[in-house]
Amino acid sequence: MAALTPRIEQVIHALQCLPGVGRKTATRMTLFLLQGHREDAEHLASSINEALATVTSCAKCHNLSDAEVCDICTDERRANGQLCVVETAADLVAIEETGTFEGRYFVLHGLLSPIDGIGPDELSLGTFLPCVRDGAIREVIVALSTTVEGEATTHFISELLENSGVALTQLAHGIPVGGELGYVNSRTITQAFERRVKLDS
Amino acid sequence: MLHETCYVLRRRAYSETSLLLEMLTSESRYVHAMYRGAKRNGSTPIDLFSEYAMSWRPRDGLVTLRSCELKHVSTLGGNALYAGLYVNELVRRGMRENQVVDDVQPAYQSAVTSLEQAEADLDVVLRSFEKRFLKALGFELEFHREQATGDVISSNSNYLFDPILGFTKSADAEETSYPGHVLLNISVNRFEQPETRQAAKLILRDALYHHLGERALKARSLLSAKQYREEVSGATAHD
Repeated sequence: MAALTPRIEQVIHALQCLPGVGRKTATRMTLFLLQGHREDAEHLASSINEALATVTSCAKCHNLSDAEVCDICTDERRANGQLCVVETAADLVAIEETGTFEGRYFVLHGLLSPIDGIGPDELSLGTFLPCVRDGAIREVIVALSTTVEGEATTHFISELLENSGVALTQLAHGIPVGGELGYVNSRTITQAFERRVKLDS
Repeated sequence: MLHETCYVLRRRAYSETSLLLEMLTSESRYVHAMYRGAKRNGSTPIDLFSEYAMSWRPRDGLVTLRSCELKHVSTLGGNALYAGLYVNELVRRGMRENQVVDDVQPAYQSAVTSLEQAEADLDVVLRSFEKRFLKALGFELEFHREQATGDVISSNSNYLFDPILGFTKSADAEETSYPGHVLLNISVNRFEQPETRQAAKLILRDALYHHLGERALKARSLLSAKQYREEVSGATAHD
């Protein structure tokens, strides 16, 4: 007789869709939920169901939202003329946690990668220019990966904004804070040299 | 153990820390490789168009990288990036896993190196690569003679193109025919005239579609960003 029933196996298999969760971890999670934490399991299941039923993509910035337009897009205090372009909702959360940016966002949900079948139409770029125009944006800040795909996407955005009068900036590239130079790859060091900043003296 | 210099044409995340790579080796082999721990601190970051010294134990199918060191950092930027992405898509479309196609790697390296030059003429680099790639795959286009008769292309005549039959003389200057002098220019990679560039683009596109499949290459949509902007703006204006 199998130690795990088909229903339990089904849960284990479902949990393996999560990043970093293999069969062993998924088995441990499943047994934890089904053995002594059935209320937690019900809460988890109902939370996911509710979120699936209500969470949608913000009509303006494409971030995940409970309403048609997300809280950031409806917050008038965030209408400072700055729009930060990010690849994923997780990137947006990472920037929000720093508390350094007070403008609005635009989430692409990917980067241009023709070899993977991702062109402008597969990203949310179709609504980018209306978002810039309707939001009276003066500066677009590109906060994308420094990979070839990130650079290609940045270049595409720069072409979209050509002659628009909107300033285009990009997050600085270089040595990470707290990092040791000896462990930084040569490409990063090259870029850090090219984009070095003048110190007050 | 195999030690080769490679270009990575495609990379995908595999688990939290590893990458699946599709690479073109210095022996012109298209290899699929697993790079374990690629996203860990201290690992060589993998990007497209850069050259890497890699080693792996040879086997059929997916190989696991034993070492990976950066040899040359790509400096592609701007529209040259789009052109490079187009070249990558083309190579992937034309080659199968573990297939060796002589001259593809030198052709690829030549294209990437040319694109890195600040004054690179993208059309010329792409057309030259397309010609060389088709030839490497065994689908060489003969721009200097008629395939069926073997007659040399005459600069004063007009020719029709068929991806299988090649060029055949046309009685009249039809809308779909190409002047002989244009074909002769393409045969020696002389793309100065706009007429030659346009003809080369159409003929090679036709041949690539026929030999590599009619599904549109996605990278072409990047090369027309301005057109996309007009479409998006136009669509919004009508809303």
